[in-house]
Amino acid sequence: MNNDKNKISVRLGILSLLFLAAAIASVIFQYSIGEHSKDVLNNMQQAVAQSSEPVSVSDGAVSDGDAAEQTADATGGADAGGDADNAEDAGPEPMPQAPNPYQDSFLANADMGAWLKIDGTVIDYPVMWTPRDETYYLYRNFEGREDQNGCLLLDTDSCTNPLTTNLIIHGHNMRSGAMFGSLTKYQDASYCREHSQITLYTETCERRYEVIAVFRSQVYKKTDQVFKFYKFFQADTEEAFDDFYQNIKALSLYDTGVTASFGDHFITLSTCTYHVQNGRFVVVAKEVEGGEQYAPFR
Amino acid sequence: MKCFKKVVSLAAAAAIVLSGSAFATLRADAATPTTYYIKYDEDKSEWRMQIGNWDKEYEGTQLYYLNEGNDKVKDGDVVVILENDEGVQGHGDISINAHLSNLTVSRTSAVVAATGGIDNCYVLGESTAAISGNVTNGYVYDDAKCTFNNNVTNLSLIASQENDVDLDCSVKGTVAYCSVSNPGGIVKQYYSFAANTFYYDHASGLMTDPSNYSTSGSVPAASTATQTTTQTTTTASSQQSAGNASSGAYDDVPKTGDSNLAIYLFALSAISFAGCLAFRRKAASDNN
Repeated sequence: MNNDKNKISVRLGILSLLFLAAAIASVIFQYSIGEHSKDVLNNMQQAVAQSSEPVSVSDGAVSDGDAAEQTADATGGADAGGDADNAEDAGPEPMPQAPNPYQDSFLANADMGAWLKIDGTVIDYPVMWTPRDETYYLYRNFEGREDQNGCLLLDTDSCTNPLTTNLIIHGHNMRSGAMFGSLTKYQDASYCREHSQITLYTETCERRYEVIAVFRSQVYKKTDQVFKFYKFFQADTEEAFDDFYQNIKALSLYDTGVTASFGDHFITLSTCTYHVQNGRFVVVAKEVEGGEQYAPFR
Repeated sequence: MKCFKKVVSLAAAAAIVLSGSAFATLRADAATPTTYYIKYDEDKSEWRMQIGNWDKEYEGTQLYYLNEGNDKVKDGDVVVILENDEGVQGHGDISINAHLSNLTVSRTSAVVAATGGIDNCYVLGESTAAISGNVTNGYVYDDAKCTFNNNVTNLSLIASQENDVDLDCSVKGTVAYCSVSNPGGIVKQYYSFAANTFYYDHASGLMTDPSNYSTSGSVPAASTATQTTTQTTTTASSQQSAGNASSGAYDDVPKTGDSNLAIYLFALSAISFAGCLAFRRKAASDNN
């Protein structure tokens, strides 16, 4: 009888060690992958920092096959409509165009749809856009290697060219604070005031945004007839725009003082939270003027 | 044997704590909601309250203690305003310094101010109520008269018979969504009322100028402003709104939570280790 107990005890001990080893291995593996991803990101960020001063370029519109393919993907992958105002709708007098500071990153991975940066926060990441498989980079780093941090994802119904009314970006709420791990700090109005400027660098231009609403929501069932922030991409009518705008303002944890009207564009940053099942913490920002136009580089 | 029990208890406690953090859903829930019953005392010409239920043997305590003392109302509590036994209507305001999960006005007349707002507010038939404080879900039943002095997110006007919505309701704030229903289901839906424009008359129906509301839109989600106030009640109300339609698959949105694999493995390791120790000690004690 005692022998049996001793045997069970030994087996449980071995099992415990195995689980412990697996847990430690998992932590080490994730850490090493994370460190590698960090290095890659740091290199990309340094490359941006070292990029040359903006210069005026008169032409240089090189349109190769890849660019054409990407544009075709863009128009096919989103309910964009035909009235988008993208940067290439240049007027009679073309604006001076600076070189894109993220040019190398765009060229390094054609899946990169934009670069998101919020000054004063850790959010300074590439945003991947993969219409064929939205979650391809959910657990992969910029190089496509497995990584629990994943990458920021531009919703495949959003599009930067032509620009949809709302660009939704999903990111992991990592305990380490990486990706959108710090996004929930926006529940504090004073933090929001200090970090209200969001910048999105696309292939063609820099887009600047100002936070307009911060709220908690959730992913609902398909049959639920409620406001779903994650279903709004394109406002072709004023009514559709107002419906989204009024709902986000009503849900907002506080008044940011920023208003919007039909024709404005938004960026929506979304991450998981646990206040309810399938909870989401959401920061919506409205595009403001002042972004630079970039010279074509493909 | 004692030692064995202790080890098993410790192991169980460790398992609960670890698995709790693994699921990352443990949170400090508010205390269990308390229900306060309030009734008008004609002899004393004042409102009186009791906690838990209304015992006719007792006259109840003064309303002062609703907001003061050990038994004062807290966020997430429930308040029920009852009909006076003699059918006498109440006089005097009822002030509540908290966010209520539920407020019910039952066949009486009451002026209620909930400073923190109300998740679900029910104004039952034959009641007359004036409610101050933002309301997430307001339900006004047949034969009731109700004025909401602040915003109402979802307003339901509920008739007991078909083609006969016999109630009066006005809202001084905004109304995000209003439904009119009878036993057959929802008959009318309105959206996005501007502030101080909602008025529903028992005889004439909706009196609001059409320029001040819309007949199309989407039902707003439960207000998250209330979610931050009381985690427990908002979870319930959010789930309620989610469950309104039917069960089924969730929308396809990327899951962006952090991985818990390492925590699960550590928890399993700890549980196995605790079990190992328990069996060793049991074997040792049996030997002795």
